[in-house]
Amino acid sequence: MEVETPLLVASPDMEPMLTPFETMVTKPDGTSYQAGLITSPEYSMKKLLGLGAQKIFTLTKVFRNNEEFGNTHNPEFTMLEWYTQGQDFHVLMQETEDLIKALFAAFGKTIEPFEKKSLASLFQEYVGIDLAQSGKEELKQACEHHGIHTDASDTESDLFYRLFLAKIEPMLANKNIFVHSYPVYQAALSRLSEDKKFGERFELYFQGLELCNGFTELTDPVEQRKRFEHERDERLKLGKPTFPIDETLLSLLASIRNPSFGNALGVDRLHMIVTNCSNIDDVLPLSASVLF
Amino acid sequence: MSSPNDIKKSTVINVNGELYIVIDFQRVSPGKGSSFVRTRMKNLKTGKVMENNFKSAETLTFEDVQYKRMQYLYNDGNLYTFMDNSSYEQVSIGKAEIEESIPYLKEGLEITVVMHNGNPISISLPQKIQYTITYTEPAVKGDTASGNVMKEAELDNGLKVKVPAFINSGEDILVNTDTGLYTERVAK
Repeated sequence: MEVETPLLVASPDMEPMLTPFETMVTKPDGTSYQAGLITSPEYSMKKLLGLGAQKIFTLTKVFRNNEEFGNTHNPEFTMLEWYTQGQDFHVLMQETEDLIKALFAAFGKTIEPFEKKSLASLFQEYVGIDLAQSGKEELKQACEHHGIHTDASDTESDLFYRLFLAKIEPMLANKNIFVHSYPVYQAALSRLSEDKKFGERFELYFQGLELCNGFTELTDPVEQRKRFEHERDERLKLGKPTFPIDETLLSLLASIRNPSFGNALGVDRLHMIVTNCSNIDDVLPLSASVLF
Repeated sequence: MSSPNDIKKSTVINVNGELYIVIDFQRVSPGKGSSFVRTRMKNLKTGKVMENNFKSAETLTFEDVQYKRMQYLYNDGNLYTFMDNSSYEQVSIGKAEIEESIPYLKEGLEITVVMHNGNPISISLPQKIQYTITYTEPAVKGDTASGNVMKEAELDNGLKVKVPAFINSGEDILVNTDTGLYTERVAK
Protein backbone atom coordinates (compact mmCIF):
# COMPACT_ATOMS: atom_id res chain seq x y z
CA MET A 1 0.00 0.00 0.00
CA GLU A 2 1.36 3.41 -0.91
CA VAL A 3 1.24 5.93 1.94
CA GLU A 4 2.02 9.61 2.29
CA THR A 5 3.87 10.82 5.34
CA PRO A 6 4.26 14.39 6.68
CA LEU A 7 7.38 16.36 5.73
CA LEU A 8 6.94 18.87 8.54
CA VAL A 9 7.08 17.22 11.98
CA ALA A 10 7.76 18.01 15.64
CA SER A 11 10.65 15.57 15.99
CA PRO A 12 12.47 15.06 12.69
CA ASP A 13 15.49 13.02 13.78
CA MET A 14 17.60 12.17 16.83
CA GLU A 15 20.64 10.82 14.94
CA PRO A 16 23.60 12.83 16.27
CA MET A 17 25.37 13.27 12.93
CA LEU A 18 22.40 14.60 10.96
CA THR A 19 21.32 18.24 10.81
CA PRO A 20 17.61 18.64 10.10
CA PHE A 21 16.23 21.92 8.73
CA GLU A 22 14.47 23.65 11.61
CA THR A 23 11.48 25.95 11.66
CA MET A 24 8.50 26.99 13.83
CA VAL A 25 4.85 26.18 13.32
CA THR A 26 2.58 29.01 14.52
CA LYS A 27 -1.19 28.99 14.99
CA PRO A 28 -3.30 32.14 14.35
CA ASP A 29 -3.60 32.64 18.13
CA GLY A 30 0.18 32.92 18.33
CA THR A 31 0.92 29.52 19.87
CA SER A 32 4.20 28.28 18.42
CA TYR A 33 5.76 24.84 18.14
CA GLN A 34 9.32 23.76 17.39
CA ALA A 35 9.35 21.85 14.12
CA GLY A 36 11.66 20.47 11.46
CA LEU A 37 11.67 18.86 8.03
CA ILE A 38 12.10 15.08 7.97
CA THR A 39 15.50 13.57 7.19
CA SER A 40 13.68 10.29 6.52
CA PRO A 41 10.02 9.18 6.73
CA GLU A 42 11.04 6.38 9.12
CA TYR A 43 9.27 7.56 12.28
CA SER A 44 5.98 8.13 10.43
CA MET A 45 6.26 4.82 8.59
CA LYS A 46 6.75 2.95 11.86
CA LYS A 47 3.74 4.70 13.39
CA LEU A 48 1.63 3.46 10.47
CA LEU A 49 2.93 -0.08 11.08
CA GLY A 50 1.98 0.28 14.75
CA LEU A 51 -1.51 1.37 13.70
CA GLY A 52 -1.88 -1.89 11.79
CA ALA A 53 -0.55 -1.35 8.25
CA GLN A 54 1.25 -4.55 7.10
CA LYS A 55 3.12 -3.71 3.88
CA ILE A 56 3.69 -0.07 3.04
CA PHE A 57 5.86 2.10 0.82
CA THR A 58 6.34 5.80 0.30
CA LEU A 59 8.20 7.86 -2.26
CA THR A 60 8.97 11.15 -0.56
CA LYS A 61 11.24 14.17 -0.45
CA VAL A 62 13.60 14.28 2.54
CA PHE A 63 15.84 17.10 3.70
CA ARG A 64 19.30 17.19 5.27
CA ASN A 65 21.24 20.32 6.07
CA ASN A 66 25.03 20.44 6.14
CA GLU A 67 25.37 18.19 3.08
CA GLU A 68 27.64 18.64 0.11
CA PHE A 69 26.28 20.18 -3.08
CA GLY A 70 26.70 17.76 -5.97
CA ASN A 71 28.61 14.51 -6.48
CA THR A 72 26.42 12.09 -4.53
CA HIS A 73 24.63 14.61 -2.28
CA ASN A 74 21.94 17.27 -2.42
CA PRO A 75 20.28 18.86 0.66
CA GLU A 76 16.85 17.80 -0.65
CA PHE A 77 16.45 14.40 -2.26
CA THR A 78 13.95 11.62 -2.94
CA MET A 79 13.74 8.53 -0.77
CA LEU A 80 11.87 5.29 -1.34
CA GLU A 81 11.09 3.60 1.96
CA TRP A 82 9.27 0.33 2.36
CA TYR A 83 8.35 -1.88 5.32
CA THR A 84 6.83 -5.33 5.78
CA GLN A 85 5.67 -6.92 9.02
CA GLY A 86 6.53 -10.56 9.70
CA GLN A 87 9.65 -10.68 7.46
CA ASP A 88 13.35 -10.19 8.17
CA PHE A 89 16.23 -8.53 6.31
CA HIS A 90 17.09 -11.63 4.24
CA VAL A 91 13.73 -11.34 2.48
CA LEU A 92 14.36 -7.61 2.14
CA MET A 93 17.70 -8.11 0.36
CA GLN A 94 15.94 -10.34 -2.18
CA GLU A 95 13.14 -7.80 -2.70
CA THR A 96 15.68 -5.01 -3.16
CA GLU A 97 17.57 -7.00 -5.78
CA ASP A 98 14.32 -7.84 -7.61
CA LEU A 99 13.27 -4.19 -7.59
CA ILE A 100 16.55 -2.96 -9.07
CA LYS A 101 16.58 -5.73 -11.68
CA ALA A 102 13.04 -4.81 -12.73
CA LEU A 103 14.06 -1.18 -13.08
CA PHE A 104 17.07 -2.09 -15.24
CA ALA A 105 14.82 -4.33 -17.35
CA ALA A 106 12.48 -1.38 -17.91
CA PHE A 107 15.50 0.46 -19.36
CA GLY A 108 16.36 -2.58 -21.49
CA LYS A 109 19.41 -3.40 -19.36
CA THR A 110 20.42 -6.52 -17.47
CA ILE A 111 22.69 -6.81 -14.42
CA GLU A 112 24.65 -9.61 -12.80
CA PRO A 113 23.26 -11.27 -9.65
CA PHE A 114 24.21 -9.36 -6.51
CA GLU A 115 26.81 -10.67 -4.08
CA LYS A 116 26.13 -10.92 -0.35
CA LYS A 117 28.84 -10.73 2.31
CA SER A 118 28.79 -10.20 6.06
CA LEU A 119 31.08 -7.62 7.64
CA ALA A 120 32.72 -10.47 9.55
CA SER A 121 33.73 -12.24 6.33
CA LEU A 122 34.88 -8.97 4.67
CA PHE A 123 37.05 -8.16 7.70
CA GLN A 124 38.47 -11.68 7.64
CA GLU A 125 39.26 -11.35 3.95
CA TYR A 126 40.62 -7.79 3.65
CA VAL A 127 41.74 -6.85 7.16
CA GLY A 128 42.68 -10.29 8.44
CA ILE A 129 40.88 -10.14 11.80
CA ASP A 130 37.94 -11.90 13.43
CA LEU A 131 35.44 -9.08 13.87
CA ALA A 132 33.30 -10.98 16.38
CA GLN A 133 36.31 -11.27 18.71
CA SER A 134 37.70 -7.78 18.10
CA GLY A 135 37.27 -5.03 20.65
CA LYS A 136 38.76 -1.55 20.63
CA GLU A 137 42.32 -2.79 21.26
CA GLU A 138 42.29 -5.34 18.41
CA LEU A 139 40.79 -2.82 15.98
CA LYS A 140 43.45 -0.27 16.92
CA GLN A 141 46.21 -2.83 16.37
CA ALA A 142 44.75 -3.69 12.98
CA CYS A 143 44.82 0.02 12.01
CA GLU A 144 48.47 0.25 13.06
CA HIS A 145 49.30 -2.93 11.20
CA HIS A 146 47.82 -1.52 7.98
CA GLY A 147 49.37 1.94 8.45
CA ILE A 148 46.01 3.63 8.96
CA HIS A 149 45.97 6.96 10.75
CA THR A 150 44.08 6.92 14.11
CA ASP A 151 43.26 9.51 16.73
CA ALA A 152 43.33 9.32 20.53
CA SER A 153 39.60 10.08 20.68
CA ASP A 154 38.63 7.10 18.48
CA THR A 155 35.83 4.85 19.70
CA GLU A 156 35.38 1.22 18.71
CA SER A 157 32.97 2.41 16.04
CA ASP A 158 35.46 4.97 14.65
CA LEU A 159 38.24 2.39 14.39
CA PHE A 160 35.88 -0.03 12.67
CA TYR A 161 34.95 2.63 10.14
CA ARG A 162 38.58 3.63 9.53
CA LEU A 163 39.36 0.01 8.60
CA PHE A 164 36.22 -0.22 6.50
CA LEU A 165 37.02 3.00 4.57
CA ALA A 166 40.64 2.13 3.93
CA LYS A 167 40.60 -1.63 3.36
CA ILE A 168 37.07 -2.69 2.41
CA GLU A 169 35.18 0.08 0.63
CA PRO A 170 37.75 0.34 -2.20
CA MET A 171 37.24 -3.40 -2.83
CA LEU A 172 33.51 -2.83 -3.39
CA ALA A 173 33.98 -0.30 -6.19
CA ASN A 174 33.13 -2.56 -9.13
CA LYS A 175 30.61 -4.81 -7.47
CA ASN A 176 26.92 -4.99 -6.72
CA ILE A 177 27.07 -6.27 -3.20
CA PHE A 178 24.96 -6.43 -0.05
CA VAL A 179 27.19 -5.81 2.95
CA HIS A 180 25.33 -7.11 5.97
CA SER A 181 25.35 -7.89 9.71
CA TYR A 182 27.03 -4.82 11.20
CA PRO A 183 28.69 -4.74 14.62
CA VAL A 184 26.23 -3.61 17.30
CA TYR A 185 27.78 -0.11 17.55
CA GLN A 186 26.99 0.43 13.84
CA ALA A 187 23.43 -0.83 13.86
CA ALA A 188 21.47 1.23 16.36
CA LEU A 189 18.00 0.75 14.87
CA SER A 190 18.17 -2.93 14.13
CA ARG A 191 17.34 -6.21 15.80
CA LEU A 192 20.38 -8.12 17.11
CA SER A 193 21.58 -11.46 15.81
CA GLU A 194 21.22 -14.50 18.09
CA ASP A 195 24.76 -14.21 19.48
CA LYS A 196 24.05 -10.48 20.16
CA LYS A 197 27.29 -9.47 18.41
CA PHE A 198 25.83 -8.16 15.19
CA GLY A 199 22.83 -6.10 14.21
CA GLU A 200 20.59 -7.13 11.30
CA ARG A 201 21.44 -4.20 9.07
CA PHE A 202 22.63 -4.18 5.46
CA GLU A 203 23.83 -1.67 2.92
CA LEU A 204 23.77 -2.16 -0.81
CA TYR A 205 26.90 -0.94 -2.59
CA PHE A 206 26.17 -0.63 -6.26
CA GLN A 207 29.38 -0.05 -8.24
CA GLY A 208 30.79 1.60 -5.14
CA LEU A 209 27.78 3.86 -4.50
CA GLU A 210 25.80 3.39 -1.26
CA LEU A 211 22.30 2.89 -2.50
CA CYS A 212 20.24 1.79 0.47
CA ASN A 213 20.25 0.93 4.11
CA GLY A 214 17.93 -1.84 5.37
CA PHE A 215 17.15 -3.33 8.74
CA THR A 216 15.28 -5.96 10.60
CA GLU A 217 13.76 -3.23 12.73
CA LEU A 218 14.07 -2.86 16.44
CA THR A 219 10.55 -3.16 17.89
CA ASP A 220 11.34 -3.03 21.61
CA PRO A 221 10.09 0.34 22.97
CA VAL A 222 12.23 0.15 26.13
CA GLU A 223 15.45 -0.37 24.17
CA GLN A 224 14.35 2.24 21.61
CA ARG A 225 13.80 4.82 24.37
CA LYS A 226 17.29 4.13 25.70
CA ARG A 227 18.79 4.67 22.25
CA PHE A 228 16.80 7.89 21.70
CA GLU A 229 17.97 9.22 25.07
CA HIS A 230 21.53 8.29 24.23
CA GLU A 231 21.28 10.04 20.85
CA ARG A 232 19.77 13.13 22.48
CA ASP A 233 22.69 13.25 24.94
CA GLU A 234 25.12 12.92 22.04
CA ARG A 235 23.45 15.86 20.29
CA LEU A 236 23.70 17.95 23.46
CA LYS A 237 27.38 17.08 23.79
CA LEU A 238 28.00 18.14 20.20
CA GLY A 239 26.15 21.41 20.85
CA LYS A 240 23.44 20.51 18.33
CA PRO A 241 19.76 21.37 18.79
CA THR A 242 17.66 18.55 20.19
CA PHE A 243 14.09 17.55 19.51
CA PRO A 244 11.55 15.99 21.89
CA ILE A 245 11.48 12.18 21.96
CA ASP A 246 8.58 11.02 19.79
CA GLU A 247 6.28 9.47 22.40
CA THR A 248 3.63 8.49 19.83
CA LEU A 249 6.25 6.44 18.01
CA LEU A 250 7.37 4.72 21.21
CA SER A 251 3.81 3.87 22.22
CA LEU A 252 3.04 2.38 18.79
CA LEU A 253 6.32 0.45 18.49
CA ALA A 254 5.08 -2.36 20.75
CA SER A 255 2.28 -3.14 18.27
CA ILE A 256 4.73 -3.89 15.43
CA ARG A 257 5.44 -7.59 14.86
CA ASN A 258 8.94 -9.01 15.29
CA PRO A 259 10.52 -9.46 12.79
CA SER A 260 9.61 -6.55 10.52
CA PHE A 261 11.88 -5.06 7.91
CA GLY A 262 12.39 -1.56 6.58
CA ASN A 263 14.51 -0.20 3.76
CA ALA A 264 15.50 3.32 2.70
CA LEU A 265 16.70 3.72 -0.87
CA GLY A 266 18.06 6.91 -2.45
CA VAL A 267 16.03 7.33 -5.63
CA ASP A 268 18.24 10.01 -7.19
CA ARG A 269 21.26 7.73 -6.83
CA LEU A 270 19.30 4.90 -8.43
CA HIS A 271 18.44 7.30 -11.25
CA MET A 272 22.18 8.09 -11.63
CA ILE A 273 23.06 4.42 -11.85
CA VAL A 274 20.46 3.42 -14.39
CA THR A 275 21.27 6.40 -16.63
CA ASN A 276 25.07 6.11 -16.17
CA CYS A 277 25.52 9.54 -14.60
CA SER A 278 28.33 10.11 -12.12
CA ASN A 279 27.02 13.31 -10.54
CA ILE A 280 23.65 13.77 -8.83
CA ASP A 281 23.42 17.20 -10.49
CA ASP A 282 23.08 15.38 -13.83
CA VAL A 283 19.75 13.89 -12.76
CA LEU A 284 18.59 17.01 -10.85
CA PRO A 285 18.55 19.91 -13.34
CA LEU A 286 17.60 22.29 -10.51
CA SER A 287 19.93 20.95 -7.86
CA ALA A 288 21.30 22.98 -4.96
CA SER A 289 24.45 23.73 -6.99
CA VAL A 290 22.23 25.62 -9.43
CA LEU A 291 19.83 27.16 -6.90
CA PHE A 292 22.29 28.53 -4.32
CA MET B 1 44.43 23.91 15.67
CA SER B 2 41.81 23.20 13.02
CA SER B 3 38.99 20.79 12.36
CA PRO B 4 38.82 18.35 9.43
CA ASN B 5 35.46 19.99 8.66
CA ASP B 6 37.40 23.08 7.53
CA ILE B 7 39.43 21.15 4.93
CA LYS B 8 39.21 22.65 1.47
CA LYS B 9 41.05 22.09 -1.76
CA SER B 10 44.61 23.46 -1.41
CA THR B 11 44.53 23.41 2.40
CA VAL B 12 48.04 22.53 3.61
CA ILE B 13 48.08 20.08 6.52
CA ASN B 14 51.03 19.32 8.75
CA VAL B 15 51.01 15.62 9.68
CA ASN B 16 53.91 14.71 11.98
CA GLY B 17 56.09 17.43 10.50
CA GLU B 18 55.39 16.55 6.86
CA LEU B 19 53.38 18.94 4.72
CA TYR B 20 50.54 17.77 2.52
CA ILE B 21 48.34 19.76 0.18
CA VAL B 22 44.72 18.67 -0.23
CA ILE B 23 43.87 17.68 -3.80
CA ASP B 24 40.38 16.41 -3.17
CA PHE B 25 38.14 15.70 -0.21
CA GLN B 26 34.75 14.21 0.49
CA ARG B 27 32.69 13.94 3.63
CA VAL B 28 31.59 10.41 4.40
CA SER B 29 29.47 9.08 7.21
CA PRO B 30 28.84 5.51 8.23
CA GLY B 31 25.08 5.93 8.84
CA LYS B 32 25.72 5.59 12.55
CA GLY B 33 28.47 7.29 14.52
CA SER B 34 31.04 9.97 13.67
CA SER B 35 31.44 11.34 10.19
CA PHE B 36 34.80 11.43 8.44
CA VAL B 37 36.53 13.50 5.80
CA ARG B 38 38.14 11.34 3.15
CA THR B 39 41.13 13.31 1.94
CA ARG B 40 43.38 12.82 -1.06
CA MET B 41 46.55 14.78 -0.44
CA LYS B 42 49.98 15.23 -1.93
CA ASN B 43 53.19 15.21 0.08
CA LEU B 44 54.83 18.52 -0.80
CA LYS B 45 58.33 17.09 -0.48
CA THR B 46 58.05 13.68 -2.13
CA GLY B 47 55.13 14.40 -4.46
CA LYS B 48 53.53 11.15 -3.36
CA VAL B 49 49.72 11.19 -3.31
CA MET B 50 48.02 9.38 -0.47
CA GLU B 51 44.59 8.98 0.99
CA ASN B 52 43.90 9.76 4.63
CA ASN B 53 40.63 9.69 6.52
CA PHE B 54 40.15 12.21 9.32
CA LYS B 55 37.36 11.99 11.86
CA SER B 56 35.38 15.23 12.15
CA ALA B 57 36.19 15.50 15.86
CA GLU B 58 39.98 15.30 15.37
CA THR B 59 42.22 18.32 15.62
CA LEU B 60 44.63 19.02 12.78
CA THR B 61 47.39 21.52 12.20
CA PHE B 62 46.89 23.61 9.09
CA GLU B 63 49.89 25.48 7.75
CA ASP B 64 49.60 29.18 7.21
CA VAL B 65 49.38 29.68 3.46
CA GLN B 66 48.55 32.69 1.33
CA TYR B 67 46.38 32.60 -1.74
CA LYS B 68 47.23 35.03 -4.55
CA ARG B 69 45.12 35.75 -7.61
CA MET B 70 47.44 35.53 -10.60
CA GLN B 71 47.32 35.20 -14.36
CA TYR B 72 48.92 32.39 -16.36
CA LEU B 73 51.63 33.77 -18.64
CA TYR B 74 53.60 30.99 -20.32
CA ASN B 75 55.46 27.73 -19.86
CA ASP B 76 59.09 27.21 -20.55
CA GLY B 77 59.86 23.50 -20.58
CA ASN B 78 59.47 22.39 -17.02
CA LEU B 79 58.40 25.71 -15.50
CA TYR B 80 55.02 27.42 -15.56
CA THR B 81 54.99 31.17 -14.95
CA PHE B 82 52.20 33.27 -13.43
CA MET B 83 51.90 37.00 -12.75
CA ASP B 84 50.16 39.12 -10.13
CA ASN B 85 48.32 41.75 -12.18
CA SER B 86 48.49 44.45 -9.52
CA SER B 87 52.12 44.12 -8.43
CA TYR B 88 53.50 42.58 -11.65
CA GLU B 89 55.27 40.06 -9.43
CA GLN B 90 56.00 36.82 -11.31
CA VAL B 91 56.32 33.31 -9.90
CA SER B 92 57.29 30.03 -11.55
CA ILE B 93 56.14 26.57 -10.50
CA GLY B 94 57.44 23.19 -11.61
CA LYS B 95 55.39 20.89 -13.82
CA ALA B 96 55.15 18.16 -11.15
CA GLU B 97 53.52 20.54 -8.65
CA ILE B 98 50.60 21.41 -10.91
CA GLU B 99 50.32 18.34 -13.11
CA GLU B 100 46.54 17.88 -12.74
CA SER B 101 45.90 21.53 -13.67
CA ILE B 102 48.07 21.80 -16.77
CA PRO B 103 45.51 20.60 -19.37
CA TYR B 104 43.17 23.45 -18.32
CA LEU B 105 45.69 26.31 -18.52
CA LYS B 106 45.42 28.93 -21.22
CA GLU B 107 47.13 32.24 -21.63
CA GLY B 108 45.61 34.95 -19.46
CA LEU B 109 43.64 32.52 -17.28
CA GLU B 110 43.10 33.77 -13.73
CA ILE B 111 44.01 31.19 -11.13
CA THR B 112 44.99 31.14 -7.46
CA VAL B 113 48.58 30.48 -6.48
CA VAL B 114 49.12 28.85 -3.09
CA MET B 115 52.12 30.41 -1.32
CA HIS B 116 53.88 28.90 1.69
CA ASN B 117 56.75 30.79 3.40
CA GLY B 118 57.02 33.00 0.35
CA ASN B 119 57.30 30.07 -2.09
CA PRO B 120 54.66 29.10 -4.65
CA ILE B 121 53.71 25.47 -3.96
CA SER B 122 50.61 24.85 -6.01
CA ILE B 123 47.75 26.46 -7.92
CA SER B 124 44.01 26.07 -7.78
CA LEU B 125 41.78 26.48 -10.81
CA PRO B 126 38.36 28.12 -11.03
CA GLN B 127 35.62 25.49 -10.88
CA LYS B 128 34.45 26.39 -14.39
CA ILE B 129 36.56 27.81 -17.18
CA GLN B 130 35.34 29.36 -20.42
CA TYR B 131 36.88 28.20 -23.69
CA THR B 132 36.19 28.86 -27.37
CA ILE B 133 35.70 25.86 -29.63
CA THR B 134 38.26 25.94 -32.42
CA TYR B 135 36.99 22.86 -34.18
CA THR B 136 34.12 20.41 -34.01
CA GLU B 137 32.27 18.50 -36.74
CA PRO B 138 29.10 20.29 -37.85
CA ALA B 139 25.92 18.75 -36.44
CA VAL B 140 24.42 16.06 -38.64
CA LYS B 141 20.77 16.72 -39.34
CA GLY B 142 18.53 14.42 -37.32
CA ASP B 143 21.13 13.76 -34.64
CA THR B 144 19.94 16.58 -32.43
CA ALA B 145 16.41 15.23 -32.07
CA SER B 146 17.43 12.20 -30.03
CA GLY B 147 18.86 14.27 -27.17
CA ASN B 148 22.10 13.17 -25.56
CA VAL B 149 24.33 12.88 -28.64
CA MET B 150 27.87 14.01 -27.87
CA LYS B 151 30.80 14.71 -30.19
CA GLU B 152 34.41 15.72 -29.75
CA ALA B 153 35.43 19.36 -29.77
CA GLU B 154 38.87 20.96 -29.69
CA LEU B 155 39.21 24.08 -27.55
CA ASP B 156 41.35 27.19 -27.91
CA ASN B 157 44.04 25.79 -25.56
CA GLY B 158 44.20 22.40 -27.28
CA LEU B 159 42.05 20.59 -24.70
CA LYS B 160 39.56 18.10 -26.14
CA VAL B 161 36.13 17.56 -24.57
CA LYS B 162 32.82 15.98 -25.52
CA VAL B 163 30.07 18.49 -26.27
CA PRO B 164 26.40 18.10 -27.29
CA ALA B 165 25.79 17.76 -31.02
CA PHE B 166 24.11 21.19 -31.36
CA ILE B 167 27.28 23.12 -30.43
CA ASN B 168 29.30 24.63 -33.27
CA SER B 169 32.87 25.79 -33.92
CA GLY B 170 33.48 29.34 -32.72
CA GLU B 171 31.06 29.05 -29.80
CA ASP B 172 32.06 29.49 -26.15
CA ILE B 173 31.47 26.78 -23.56
CA LEU B 174 32.19 26.18 -19.87
CA VAL B 175 34.20 23.16 -18.73
CA ASN B 176 34.07 21.88 -15.15
CA THR B 177 37.63 21.47 -13.91
CA ASP B 178 36.62 18.95 -11.21
CA THR B 179 35.18 16.50 -13.71
CA GLY B 180 36.79 17.60 -16.96
CA LEU B 181 33.34 17.65 -18.56
CA TYR B 182 31.40 20.19 -20.63
CA THR B 183 28.76 21.93 -18.51
CA GLU B 184 27.05 24.60 -20.61
CA ARG B 185 27.11 26.89 -23.64
CA VAL B 186 27.87 30.58 -23.03
CA ALA B 187 25.65 33.11 -24.78
CA LYS B 188 27.69 35.65 -26.73
